[in-house]
Amino acid sequence: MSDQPGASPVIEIDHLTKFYGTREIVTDMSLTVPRGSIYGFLGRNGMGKTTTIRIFLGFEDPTRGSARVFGLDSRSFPPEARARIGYLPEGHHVYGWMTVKECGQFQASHFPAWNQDIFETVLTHFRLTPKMKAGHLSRGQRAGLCLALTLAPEPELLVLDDPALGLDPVARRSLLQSMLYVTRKADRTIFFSSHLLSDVERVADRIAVLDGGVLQADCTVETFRQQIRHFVLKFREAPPPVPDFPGLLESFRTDRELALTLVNLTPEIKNRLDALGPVSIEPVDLTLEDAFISYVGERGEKTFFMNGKETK
Amino acid sequence: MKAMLWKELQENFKWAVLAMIGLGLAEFYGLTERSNYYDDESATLYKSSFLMSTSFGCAAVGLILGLIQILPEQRRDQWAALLHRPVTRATIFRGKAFAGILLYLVATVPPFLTCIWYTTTPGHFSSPFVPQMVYPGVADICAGAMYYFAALFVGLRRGAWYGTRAFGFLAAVVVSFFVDSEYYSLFRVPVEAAVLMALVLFTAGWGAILTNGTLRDQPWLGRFALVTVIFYGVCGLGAITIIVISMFSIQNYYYGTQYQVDVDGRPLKFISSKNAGTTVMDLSGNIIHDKRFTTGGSYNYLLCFNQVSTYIGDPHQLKDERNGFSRGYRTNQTYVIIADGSYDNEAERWYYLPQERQFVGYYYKTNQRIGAIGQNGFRPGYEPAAPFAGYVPSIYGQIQSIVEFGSTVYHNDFDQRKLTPILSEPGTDVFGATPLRSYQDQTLSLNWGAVALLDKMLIIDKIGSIIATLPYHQNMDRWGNLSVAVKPGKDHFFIQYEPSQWIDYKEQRTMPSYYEEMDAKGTLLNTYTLPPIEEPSGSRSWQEYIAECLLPPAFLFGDIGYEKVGALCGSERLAKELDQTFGDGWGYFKDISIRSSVTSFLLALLTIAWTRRMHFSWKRAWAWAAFVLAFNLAGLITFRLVSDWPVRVKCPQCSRKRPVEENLCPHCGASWPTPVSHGTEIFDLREAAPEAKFAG
Repeated sequence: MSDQPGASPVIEIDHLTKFYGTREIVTDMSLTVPRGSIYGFLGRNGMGKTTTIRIFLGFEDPTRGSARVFGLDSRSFPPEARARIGYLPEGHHVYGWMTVKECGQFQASHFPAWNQDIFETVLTHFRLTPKMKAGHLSRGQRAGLCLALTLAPEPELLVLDDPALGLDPVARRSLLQSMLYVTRKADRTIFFSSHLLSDVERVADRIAVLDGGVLQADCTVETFRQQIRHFVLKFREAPPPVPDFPGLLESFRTDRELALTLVNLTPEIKNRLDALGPVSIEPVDLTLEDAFISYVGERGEKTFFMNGKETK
Repeated sequence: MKAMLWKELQENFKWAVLAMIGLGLAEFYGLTERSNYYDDESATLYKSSFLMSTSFGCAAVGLILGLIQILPEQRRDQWAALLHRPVTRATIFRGKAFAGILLYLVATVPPFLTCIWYTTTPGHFSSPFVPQMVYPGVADICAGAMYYFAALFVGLRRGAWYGTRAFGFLAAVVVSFFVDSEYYSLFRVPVEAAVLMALVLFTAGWGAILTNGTLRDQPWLGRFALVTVIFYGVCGLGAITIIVISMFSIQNYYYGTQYQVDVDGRPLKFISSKNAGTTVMDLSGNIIHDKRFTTGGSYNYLLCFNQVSTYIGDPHQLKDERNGFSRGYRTNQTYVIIADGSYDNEAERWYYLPQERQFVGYYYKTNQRIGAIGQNGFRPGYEPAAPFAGYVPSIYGQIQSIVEFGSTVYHNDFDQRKLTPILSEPGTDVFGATPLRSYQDQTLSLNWGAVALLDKMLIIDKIGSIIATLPYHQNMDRWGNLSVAVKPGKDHFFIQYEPSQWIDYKEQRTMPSYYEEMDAKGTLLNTYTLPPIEEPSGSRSWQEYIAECLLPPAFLFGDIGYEKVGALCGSERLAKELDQTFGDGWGYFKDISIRSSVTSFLLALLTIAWTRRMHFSWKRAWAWAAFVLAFNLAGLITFRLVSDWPVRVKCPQCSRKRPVEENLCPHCGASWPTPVSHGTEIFDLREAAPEAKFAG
């Protein structure tokens, strides 16, 4: 699904900063999520993804800056706005003493636009029956129940915080399929955080990457993959030392090769690579996962064992 | 809210049932446990073990139910899932609170009703039941509800446990002291206090759920409730701290000083202290070296003063409050007084019911009611008896073997099922009557009694014949607390005049007492003035001194304002208290006012300095300073606990600490630096990097 030009943004985060005590969790973050998009929110653990979600949903106050959803300030979210947002927190919490049916009834009593058909469809998808005790469900089934509870009110905005955490591949696939169901209508928006890049690649059309509390990327999946490039430079002898390139994410050397991962490659840098005097420069395609790991992983030159001795 | 109510009831009903069973067992055990104290055993719903189970039990049930309702759901995902519903947070709170209070009532009311049923069913106890006996239990249930709301507040308030959260619990503890006190005569006062604090805690909990932990975003009612709760919590912590410190700081403990008269008729002053033992001196201050008074059994050489009245006349409308000891709503003697004569018959127990003004008797073994004795004589079983005319001014919570109603003195004879009138003084009230004992060893009864009238005291024998008439020679309005002693020869009598009970205790301590020695004809033989017992040197403890310094001026001057308004509205009592404050009590009031005001003023200055240092606006700084000025140190601590305390970090520009919430540094005016760009950022809006094609 692609952006609709001119569509009003669903989520607007403006210079958001969040401190817990004296620890800065999110720094000066600005992000706009357009209506109808499927937004993957990526980052390593503890980088501020959940905090950001909690802030724009109004569960935390920003230290500075602001967050708006549907044009409404997150600090004073009216109940009517919440009815338009489906939120699936990462714990997949259900009340264990309720049956699946009671869970649905309890949720339905709060949401005026409750769609029982959707609820039952998702339950069927996850092989859940109404009489099952929520406390006895497997992790995947619990996730399915939570998703059913989240999707049945037919939210305009679906916010999922690491929804596939701890699920097996089949449950994950079911979750994704159900999740995509919500976007059968063009004006529905999904904003989800995940560590499973293959899932993100499958469904997201835009991603935002948070690293160290700072927004490092906000682009389409395709752009992200294109901007992160991996080259293998082959040499006749030992590769020369790697100069300090701007945009160099990581380098990896063997006795005759130098593998470099770069971001935002420019002609100038390309010339500098040529100047290293390699026999050849081979571009290697990266998956989103490879690109992401290079992007948010440890930067700099890696070590390697060669001929029985440790060499840089 | 209906759905929330249903969910909460379903989720926590099992805990309420469990609490009901636990509390029921504790209360029933407390009610039926055998006591070594006769008066406690007959107290049923006033029994100390039962009241312990209701006061601690209800508080514990309230606290546990509240915490169980909130804490397990407080894990942040779960809490977010709960809050993310198209209803207001206030609705969620109301749903939880109403369900919780219903469950609390389920847990506490049935056990209490069961205990009432057990007590009122004949055959279970050899003591009477009067409806007012449910008061302490009802008060404890109300206080437990307060703990329930305290738990909601503690669970919902964001902050450290040792910080603001725990103070919600402490605020409830403060009111519990009030509820559990035996000094408050009116049942409704502590109940109102508990209900009021429960409402304040409810409001504070509501305010806590509405915001994400800040004070400034709360509605004014929530702010007011939060500040009130924390303030009371701080006061409670202060009181507990002073009590604990006092327990460890008792040094040269002062036992007391008292006046006595020896069997030879000499007034003596006994001074006892931990280190020096007992020193005996005459009224001139000469030390008496008499081994009789320093060895065991010294009381056999001292006359026994029998208290006859606590005041004479009725100028202060305290007729039914002569003895404050027996008027506390939590004191059994307020409603059921053990009749002294019933000791003579081990098989029976007799009680006086002050509200019904009659005596009722029970068989001790079968727990069956014998009957009642009233103005119209004995009535067996549950037949109603007519109340006696007038009140009985009970002393020490026990009915003596002679007892007075109105203008008549009776002798009790429960074996014969009757009260025999032995003295009648038509046209005047009897202000007290008591059997007399000669020495301090109270087993030696004289078979005489003393009767206090308006202008004289009569010494009578068992059948009411007057043995001596002792006229008063002091101002009886102010020295109407009378005791009498009989010398061993039974021909001389000593009346001790002490300040009347209605006089403020502090004033009483400044007033002298008197001994008058008379013969049986009432001839005054000697008068001795007993100076007020001076406080031992250094007796003004540092705890008292500190407490006075830290007293909130708002309370001090608020009290004066209340008295003033009350006096203007025509309250005689408040007008008198106001006169007292600006009359005899002026020196004391002035001292406290100065200490309290100076301390508050200094702390208010400190508050201004502190708030400005923490970059509070001038408006907020002045507001908090005014609060501290009114509420002293407790106000300062409250301010620190409830205000939105700014987090400060080093400014990258000037290296001084600046609040993280402000966009500009208050010192150098710099804004926050934007995150450093490393050239690795990927944003769609940027110019796309040209595609480089490399040869493979």
